[in-house]
Amino acid sequence: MSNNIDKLLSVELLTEVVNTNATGIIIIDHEHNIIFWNKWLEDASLIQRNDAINQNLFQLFPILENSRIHKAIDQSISKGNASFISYAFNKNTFPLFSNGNKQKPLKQILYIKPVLLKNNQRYCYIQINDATAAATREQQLRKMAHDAKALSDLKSGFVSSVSHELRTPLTSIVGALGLLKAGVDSPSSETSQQMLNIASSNTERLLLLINDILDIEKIESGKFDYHFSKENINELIEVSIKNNIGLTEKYKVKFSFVKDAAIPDFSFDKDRITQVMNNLISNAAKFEPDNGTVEIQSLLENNKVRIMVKDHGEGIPALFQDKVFQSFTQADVSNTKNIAGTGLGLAISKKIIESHHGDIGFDTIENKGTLFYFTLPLTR
Amino acid sequence: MIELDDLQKDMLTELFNLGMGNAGSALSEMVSEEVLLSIPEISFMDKNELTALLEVDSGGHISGVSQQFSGMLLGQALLTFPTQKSLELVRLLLQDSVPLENLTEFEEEALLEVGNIIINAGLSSLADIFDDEISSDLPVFSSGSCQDVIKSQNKTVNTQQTVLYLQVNFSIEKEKIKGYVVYLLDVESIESLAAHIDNYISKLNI
Repeated sequence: MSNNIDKLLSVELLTEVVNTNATGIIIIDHEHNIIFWNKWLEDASLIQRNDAINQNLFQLFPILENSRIHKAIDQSISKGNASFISYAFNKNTFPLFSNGNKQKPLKQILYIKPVLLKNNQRYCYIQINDATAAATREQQLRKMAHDAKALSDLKSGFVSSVSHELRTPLTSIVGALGLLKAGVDSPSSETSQQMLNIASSNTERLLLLINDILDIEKIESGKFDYHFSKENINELIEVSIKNNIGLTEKYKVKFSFVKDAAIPDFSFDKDRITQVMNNLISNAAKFEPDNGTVEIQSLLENNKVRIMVKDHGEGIPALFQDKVFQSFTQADVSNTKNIAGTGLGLAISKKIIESHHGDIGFDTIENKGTLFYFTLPLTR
Repeated sequence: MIELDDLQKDMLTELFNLGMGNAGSALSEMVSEEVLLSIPEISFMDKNELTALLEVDSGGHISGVSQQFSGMLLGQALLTFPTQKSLELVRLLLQDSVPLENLTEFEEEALLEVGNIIINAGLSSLADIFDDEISSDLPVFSSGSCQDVIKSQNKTVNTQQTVLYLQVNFSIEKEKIKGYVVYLLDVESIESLAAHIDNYISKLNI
């Protein structure tokens, strides 16, 4: 008597356990007819048990016909092989959804097992696990790893470029001072004077470079300070041109400034915008052909101010155009006047303008010249 | 120690290559890239010899997939790679370039499926020799030193010192990766297998 009760309890208990299992469980016979369909599946497929039992699995889910799942089921029934279906290789499995929401399909991993009973009846048992959370975690992990590598690559590229840029002027300094020290000529001779000039100008170049590098570092780490105050931009441009007057002799160029008197005083960082103007003006002077004029213009537009600096040089080659605002790239233009920039000026200028919520860009025409512009909003 | 003669080796190699052809097609379809599998070598081998071979080739750490099987043969099948190679294989198949040192959960599952397909194909080939069924259980991932991994295969079946060993070459996108399939069998299975191989050959000759 107790044996019978045990058996009854066992079957009922086991059925209830399997029915309420936290994964999907399907049992099909050797002809693919569904003989068991648990609660998890009812919720995930939106197909009730009564509509699933006795249905052919592939008529209920025609999308699975001839799929990897179909083959695995056949293998389990005909050969007794168990199969594992990963999400990695199988993105299209059963049409199942989270909380019955068709906008949220479930990512799945499947276990397909043969069941052979003593009476030689063959069945196939399919267990479906929800892999959605795991897949999301995996995606995040991959993204983090990719980003970390990209950052690391960027860093080593930067260190490489910086080392090269620092070494060049240092080599000149070492060379010039070495000759002086060796007393090759008398200290006051023209040659010695030349050596001193070389050492001196390269020292200045190094200093400029190091300042720019420190600026870029501050910008990247968010420590670049801005001090906004209401200023007159036309005045700033005039001062900037005056401060760069040395370039007119060095590069044999002139500057012209057409200002829009309607521009009101507005809020920006005076020192930083001066830095941008100096950068654009000195770049234009380098590329302007001898005896030419660098044209500077300010313009009031709808709620913003546009500043333009135009040269009439060779223009920026097409291959180089998307690298213009990157660190340490300078166009290799053969007839430019002994370029001695740091290669960081435009990168820094871009960051400064972006921090002001403005735009910076250029228009260039081969052999006609380049126009660099930036805009600043009137209201922050 | 059972040795396979040339005729037996040839026959087994051909049989397994047929099975691996199917596995290769299944993998190719899964990854939309041609995957070619071939078996250049089969032999019965002493377990210690196998462990030593794996150690030399892997530098000591292997990863792989194992499945228990039963029916005409009883034992455990293991598909294993030097761990670095298992990483390479999975990443090739998933067309993945994530710079991580270990297999992620995702990749582990991918390897499980690949191993499952290969092992099932091999078991089908063995089943053909018997003209009867060999059924398999679900694949399980294992990773560790060669000693540990091989030893842990003894869990439910009392397998012998002699194992059936196959080398499997994976060829994907011009990359070649070498894997090892090992069938650890109980004593009756080994004797049964040896007998059936001869039967199978003589049947073919008729």
